[in-house]
Amino acid sequence: MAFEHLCGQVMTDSNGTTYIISDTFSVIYPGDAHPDVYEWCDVASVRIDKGNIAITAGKQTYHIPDRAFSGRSQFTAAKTIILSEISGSNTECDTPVEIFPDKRFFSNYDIPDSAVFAKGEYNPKEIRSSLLSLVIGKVGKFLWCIALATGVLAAVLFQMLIGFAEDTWWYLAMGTFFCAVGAVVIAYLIMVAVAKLKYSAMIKSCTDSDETVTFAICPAGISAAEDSVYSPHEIIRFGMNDNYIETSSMFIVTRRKAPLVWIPKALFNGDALDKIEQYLALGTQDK
Amino acid sequence: MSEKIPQVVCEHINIDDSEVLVFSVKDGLAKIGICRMNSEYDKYCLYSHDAPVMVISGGMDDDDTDKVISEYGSASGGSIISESIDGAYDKLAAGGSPEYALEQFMRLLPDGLYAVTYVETYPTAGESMFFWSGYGVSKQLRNSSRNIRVIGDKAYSAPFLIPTEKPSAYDPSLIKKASAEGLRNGYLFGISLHFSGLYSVLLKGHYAACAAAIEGKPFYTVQIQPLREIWKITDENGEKKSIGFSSASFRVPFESLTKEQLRIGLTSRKYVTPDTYDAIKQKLGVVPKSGQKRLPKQLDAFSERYPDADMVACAQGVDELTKPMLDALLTGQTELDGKVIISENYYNSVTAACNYLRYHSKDEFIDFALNVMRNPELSATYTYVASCLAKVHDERINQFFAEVKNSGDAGYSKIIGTARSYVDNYDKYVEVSSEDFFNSLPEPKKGSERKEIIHLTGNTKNSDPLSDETTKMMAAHLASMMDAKKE
Repeated sequence: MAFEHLCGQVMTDSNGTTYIISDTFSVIYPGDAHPDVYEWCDVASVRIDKGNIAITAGKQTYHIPDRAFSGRSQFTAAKTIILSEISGSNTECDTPVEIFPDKRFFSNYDIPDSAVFAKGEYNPKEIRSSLLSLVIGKVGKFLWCIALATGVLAAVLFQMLIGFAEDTWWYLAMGTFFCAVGAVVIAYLIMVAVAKLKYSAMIKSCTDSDETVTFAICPAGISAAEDSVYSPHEIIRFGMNDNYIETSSMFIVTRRKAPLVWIPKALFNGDALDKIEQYLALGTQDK
Repeated sequence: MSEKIPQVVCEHINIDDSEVLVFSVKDGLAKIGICRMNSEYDKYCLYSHDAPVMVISGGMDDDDTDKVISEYGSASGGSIISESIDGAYDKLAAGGSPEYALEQFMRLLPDGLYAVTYVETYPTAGESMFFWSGYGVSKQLRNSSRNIRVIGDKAYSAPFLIPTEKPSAYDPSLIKKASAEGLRNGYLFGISLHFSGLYSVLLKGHYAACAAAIEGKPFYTVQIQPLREIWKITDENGEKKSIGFSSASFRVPFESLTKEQLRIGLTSRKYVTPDTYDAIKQKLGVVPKSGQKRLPKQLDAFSERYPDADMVACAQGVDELTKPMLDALLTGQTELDGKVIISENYYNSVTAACNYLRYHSKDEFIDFALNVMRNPELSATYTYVASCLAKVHDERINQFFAEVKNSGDAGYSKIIGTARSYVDNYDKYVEVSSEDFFNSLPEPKKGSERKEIIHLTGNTKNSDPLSDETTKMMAAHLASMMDAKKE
């Protein structure tokens, strides 16, 4: 269990129905003395989108509309409590892709003073370029295969249709080369488009979010959380399936090859960056 | 940012024709509470301001497991905390109602609902050991789980105590004073905060408890029980439904609470992370100096008259145990007239019956236990029943163990050690005279010196500026005093 420092959150919608997210999930209807109270182990599913939360418990689904939240920080606090409460349980959870690490990964751990700390906001441009680097890093090696395969295919086709001869080989070789380059360019463009499409929600969440983020990196793990919910006693511990990728603007910690935490380099000085690299290497080595 | 002022509201709630005093605390200072120290190792701490008082090193993450605790420090380290507790105690001793006396103290607790009861407690650690000397080493508390198997869903009282003063603080000269002054309605008393299962932490009244144990008088505590658990029932469709809040002794339906109380109860969180967390953690890392002073052994001897945790659990959990039921148990039956006597498990039934009888009637217990021991078909229960018998000083038991010792019966092979030890020590048993011990206690010191003010920061130099933390607490305390005056 993490984020126990957060107070229970009380939201009231336009009908006067009060929703309380705390160690339990409760709904108090106006004029009804008996609230619906559920322990989180009794909650069947949770769906969290940009500003709304839907919780299914018992035979009902309760929708907490964005208007019920007093602000972004209350929504973040409510979301954080829910995710930490259902972590480790079988509750079905549907959350949007976002730049912040999933709060279900956090656990109780006191971040030591030797950790590297920073506060700041994510820069969407840096995220975009890092995403591209990430995708290229992942799929880039296949571009050579595409080039080679397209080249060979073009050469075979040229041989069959025109035939390599003393006076044509130069043109056909050039043609084969350009076919390969063209295929690589097309593949690259498709790749970028797919990446943009896939991560557009994440980039948008980053653009929309105006919350300051606190980063803490230590040999045991890493924390990146909105200022309103950050605690120096919660961390994502490095695990067996973790790794990290360094781009020109970010350190990206990955878990099972999917991005987990994004650390913007711009928030740290040279010494701190060296330490971060050291901690990440230490935390993710032998994986 | 403006500082929040704690708000404490007290109301009497009617539940099934009885009145329950419920405090609701909003924006509480959380200066006394339980915080999680390490989720990986199930380690928690009862703290008072920035000092660890009791370390809980197991069982907190499971409602069915007994807790493992060890004492660590004192709860009355901070001046405002000790002032609040002392103030509440003095008001209660002067006959003030808990509603009025506890208000200042309640501000120190975390947000939530708290029910208050005035209940008889036993100054022991749940196993015939004086409560103040029972927690020097890590100890698993019998029947300290939230769900006590024998009791089931029923409400129960929590009579055993855990100290919040270190044994090294023991001063025998204060016992006589407490015996004369620590009285409420003519009974020696203290203030306790329910911890878990049958156990509460005694915040004030350690010397009154000593006096009660020595003089053989009942000891009551004004017990504060957090209403933090959700009371669930299974409806006619077999579905579990939440219908109220519960604590060890209370079941409070949602309907009986106001909307504000509901909101406070449902918003509060089970554990808090106090703003002094780092200081607590740091102090926990330092091994506490074990005091040279030890409590007199006589206090442990006086504690033998109190029931233990198993007896109390069975006394509260077993509804009735009639003569025909006991006879049925002696014939190896677990049911009588189609009704389960105690449990479907025979061994559990016999152990529960022994503890129930020990609590209610020593003679009936000895009769029943000796009948069990003389029935070769019930040999599976011999070890437990013999261990229960060995706790009672009685000539009939001595005779029985002497027979066992001399008989050489193979059926008694497992209890021969117990029998030998009982018989060997039987004549050595000397009852300690309460009166002699009490009279031998030193008289209270006259004209106590003015205590040096200890700031919450631990700084004793008056010339130093107050820290932010102390200033905040002082401000909240003064504001609450002003509120009280206005009212």
